[in-house]
Amino acid sequence: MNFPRNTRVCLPILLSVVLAACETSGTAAGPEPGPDQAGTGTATADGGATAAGAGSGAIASGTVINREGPPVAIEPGRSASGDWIGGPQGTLVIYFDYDRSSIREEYSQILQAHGAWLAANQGQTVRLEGHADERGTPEYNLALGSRRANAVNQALTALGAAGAQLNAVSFGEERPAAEGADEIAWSQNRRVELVYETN
Amino acid sequence: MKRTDWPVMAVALALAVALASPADAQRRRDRDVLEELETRVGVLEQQIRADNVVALINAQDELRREIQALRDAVERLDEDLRRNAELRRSQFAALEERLAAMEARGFTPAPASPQDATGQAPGDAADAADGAVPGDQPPEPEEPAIAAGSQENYEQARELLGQAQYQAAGAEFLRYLEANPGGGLAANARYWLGETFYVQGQYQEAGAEFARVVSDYPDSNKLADALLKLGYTQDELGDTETATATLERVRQDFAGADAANLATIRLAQIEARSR
Amino acid sequence: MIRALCLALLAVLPMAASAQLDVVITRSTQRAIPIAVVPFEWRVTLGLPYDFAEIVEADLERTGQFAPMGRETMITRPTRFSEMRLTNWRIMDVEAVLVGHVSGSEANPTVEFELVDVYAGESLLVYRLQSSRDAFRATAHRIADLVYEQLTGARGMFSTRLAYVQVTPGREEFRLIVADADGQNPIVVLRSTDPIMSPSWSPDGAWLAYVSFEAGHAEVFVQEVATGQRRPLSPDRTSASAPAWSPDGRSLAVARNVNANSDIYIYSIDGGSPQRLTRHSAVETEPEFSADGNRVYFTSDRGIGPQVYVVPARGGRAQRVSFTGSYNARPRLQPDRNQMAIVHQQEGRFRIGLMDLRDESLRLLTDGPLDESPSFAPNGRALIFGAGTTAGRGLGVYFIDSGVMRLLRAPKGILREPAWGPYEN
Repeated sequence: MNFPRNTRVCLPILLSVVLAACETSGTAAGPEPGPDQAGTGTATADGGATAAGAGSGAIASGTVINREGPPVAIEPGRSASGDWIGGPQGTLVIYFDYDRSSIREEYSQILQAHGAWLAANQGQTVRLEGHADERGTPEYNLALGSRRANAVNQALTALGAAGAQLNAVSFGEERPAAEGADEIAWSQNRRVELVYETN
Repeated sequence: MKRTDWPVMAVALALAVALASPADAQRRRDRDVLEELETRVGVLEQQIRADNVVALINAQDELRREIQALRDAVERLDEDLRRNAELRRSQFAALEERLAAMEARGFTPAPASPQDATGQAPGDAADAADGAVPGDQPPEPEEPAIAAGSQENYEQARELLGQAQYQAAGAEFLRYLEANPGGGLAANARYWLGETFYVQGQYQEAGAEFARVVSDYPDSNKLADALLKLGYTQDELGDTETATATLERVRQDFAGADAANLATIRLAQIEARSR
Repeated sequence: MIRALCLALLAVLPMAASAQLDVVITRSTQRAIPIAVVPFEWRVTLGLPYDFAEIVEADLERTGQFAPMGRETMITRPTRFSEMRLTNWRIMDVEAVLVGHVSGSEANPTVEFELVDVYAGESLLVYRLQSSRDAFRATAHRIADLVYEQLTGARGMFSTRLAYVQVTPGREEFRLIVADADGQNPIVVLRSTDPIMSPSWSPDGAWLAYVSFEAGHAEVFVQEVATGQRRPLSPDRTSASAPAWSPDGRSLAVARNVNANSDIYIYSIDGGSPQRLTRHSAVETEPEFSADGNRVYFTSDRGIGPQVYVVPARGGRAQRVSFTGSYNARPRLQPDRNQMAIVHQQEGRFRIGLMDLRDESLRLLTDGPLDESPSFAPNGRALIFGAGTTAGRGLGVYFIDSGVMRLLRAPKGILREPAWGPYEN
């Protein structure tokens, strides 16, 4: 794993560093990857396709250098383009492939933003609710949902959140987001929901 | 990491631009550009970091799945082996049963070793030829010619064996042995006595009789068979180590004989089982 | 952080949402025994007549093992063996006839009945049962049990009860329901706005263990069915699921989730610290005790897909049991047989299978595609399961001897996660 060593040093710096916000970036970034966009993908490994939409939106908009506008501070929870992707106003649902608990690439920026937001808001807690689609036995699906919630838990911990801020639970197939016995419904049900708790 | 390349280039470019312009206003603007570039490098680094974290977690997940898949394969192979061993065991048991039944009918298959063929009882030869079961059939020791009169008990014992009256047959063999301790059929009687125990699952007693054939009649034509059966009983009694040594001895000392072939097969079974 | 919860404990309040067991999915593959269940004569001077025979007939017919003759084709309606002209029945190709009459007081009538073997010309069963106004149905089921046992050799399962979960439309309410084996008399024993899962009967039928999410996570509760009294199984309120009673009713095997890892633990019903049975980073869940209580079968995905394993109940090495295909989960042992029901997935279809524990052969009983949660009747001759068939969703009841499958559905909402209760008499 060639994890860049300097990133640890960089992170605090770049959080305080100023960012030239692009006026146009908000629109250029496109809509956030909500259930409709990310969730309707098929169960196969097409995560990469939608991943580009979420992850690169920020980069694409950033290439337009705004020489006029004043620099704006990076706020934890926001994307490079200034959109809320983390925190209570961010993207709150992470979708998964069938029978899998690996996190699709498209969610790395979103999780990063959540991690940063939680790091900056130590008093806040978030419940990670793992869910599965209805296929298979309810009890096994409960465990599968738990495994998904745990994957998100691990990612957020590595990206700045404290363990005490996170509470991973599973609802298995008991609380589907969409009713229906087809892949469209199932893909929306294989998910982890981030539920920010109001204290 | 292709992404790491272009921010570096961008920084270099910005530096070049900065050095090329001397004017103050230009410098300020350059500084803005630099700052912005720095920010963008930071954002990229941040992104790389997040990507790496997710990649690490996924790699861990992938590893878990790999291990699970391997375990699945191992468990399935294990099960196949177990089933095969079981199948072979049951096949051998069935063969042995059939053979015992054939023997009991006074039916003597091919001789254990070629040089003993002369000792075959008249009338058995044709049956033996018919009854030649391919390859993996347990050896059937043939009867040496013996003086009439001394073999009444022996004959009766064989008769009883034919009726599957193992206990009675065993008693008759024993009576023969008591009456003719040095008789021409003593080794055979002792061997068959062992077989009566073996067929009833009394391996301890069977083993003792087979061992006596080996120790008391080292020149007997029953030696190979008795040793083979001794190995079987040791294995049945769970003494795999001794059984292996005994069967190894049969394999080496009686190479070419049926007993040696059977010993080889049994050894393979034992090995498969122990894995 | 706790979800707003709305729990109402209703010990004995019959629900309007009566389930109906009326859809036949598959028809009998075996020859059904032709039987005539003659309406019992009502000799009670007061009170409205109650049709015991109708219930008995419905119970027997439902199994697919009996072909009751229609009442309209009965020439005579005898009430005892001595009144019968056997030739009349032989002409109708009836092999067995049940006759009876009800006498005594209206509040506590006596039901007398006789089962007649038409061809042998003899009485197989002569019985007198004391009933009461509020137990007519139970008495009828009891009669069906006795007839079933006499004619098939297996003890009847008509007097047993079912537990299942009803999810109302929109998942607004989750109800734990206890009903008769024929789906009648449904009683809500627990309501919640949070999911309820995995009901499991204690061996004496007095208690139910189940999973409730009322605290925001899966947690096992035990509840006395008659009183509605309940308590969490674990005092420390840890996340746990899939409860299964030991045959002596003194302990429960559950899947306990510690540090995001699900393992099988055994909890004593009297409290005390749980005993850990499996120790593996993979998912271990869906435990099931063997009939002698010495072994625990469970589902584990230590070998990629879920498969069934078995471990000594006192701890030890787990051994794999299922090998056919890549998904075999939720083992339930068939009473008095060396077989278990499992959920088997093949080409995306989840079906209920019956696996022989000696030679590992697998017989698929249902077609799926989304069948789950099998549970055996105590006589092992039928099983109930969560049916996700193309014909609809509900509780599937599969009769093993006849191959008949029926679907139990509610007028509103979905019925799922059934558990067939034990003998109670």
